[in-house]
Amino acid sequence: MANTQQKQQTQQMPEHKPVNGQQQALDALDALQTLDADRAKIATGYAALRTSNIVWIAIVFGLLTFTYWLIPQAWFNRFNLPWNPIWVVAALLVISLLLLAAVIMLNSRRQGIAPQWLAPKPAMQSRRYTMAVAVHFFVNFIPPILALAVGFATTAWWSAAAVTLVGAVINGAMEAWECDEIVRALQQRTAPDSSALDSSTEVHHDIG
Amino acid sequence: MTSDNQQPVFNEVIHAPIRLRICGLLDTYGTMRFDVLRDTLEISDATCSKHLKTLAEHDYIQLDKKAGEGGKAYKVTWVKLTREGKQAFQSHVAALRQIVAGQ
Repeated sequence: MANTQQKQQTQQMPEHKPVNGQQQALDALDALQTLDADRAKIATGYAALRTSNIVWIAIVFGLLTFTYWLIPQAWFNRFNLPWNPIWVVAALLVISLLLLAAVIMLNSRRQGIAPQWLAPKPAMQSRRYTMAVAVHFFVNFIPPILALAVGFATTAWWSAAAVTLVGAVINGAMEAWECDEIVRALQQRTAPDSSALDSSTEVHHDIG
Repeated sequence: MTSDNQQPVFNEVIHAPIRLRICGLLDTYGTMRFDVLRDTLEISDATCSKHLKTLAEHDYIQLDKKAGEGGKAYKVTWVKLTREGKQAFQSHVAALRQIVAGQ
């Protein structure tokens, strides 16, 4: 039934002849501009979440980096714990992942959308955003490697604090970049410039 | 917008301003809650329902009623753009661009 209706609608298309081609072009332009305005509205929502996103990501990745620092300590059982210290590492890893899932769930709940693991489509199609994600991916390896090396070399508390801070700052900065690119992609105008349409209007008038 | 690889096909169902905006929002977000969609478009419950029903009749969207938070008695409606809806919307946007370009 629905498919039949759909076919009927698309078949009606050739009959959709406007009174005036210029008017139809203006209507189409207006429709495209409305879509741009709606996306700009979505961008405002993402911009509002920027700070909280950065803080959450910094906490999650700071905790993850600290977990990497703990791995050598657990491996060599340097703190002489009565139980297997690998459980501490496993627990921290689980907490970090749960926190990450919580961030995504809370954000989508605030926005009233289904949880998304990926950015909105216009952002995914933006080259600048893709570049930000690619850079984040590679930079992401720095804190764990640093944390493992430092954790292997020393047990000092300040070294743990330092690597945690490095992990938080690097990932927070990358998240800030990604958020900016998402907002930029959503704010990008996709409707053609109306001035081009105006100039063609003048030609059609053929005055003078 | 993502109409690069789509055949331009003008779609009367999607062309209605509110329905076009609904499809535009869903194309960006994927799945949205009914109340958020209604508030973003600044329209009434009835208007929003009417347009969603039309889109659902053409299999462009899928309406999913789920229990409210914490298993409360009321239901929350989630609106999802189907694959057909996505294609139809992108083809329609491509058609609009073609019209604006004067082709």
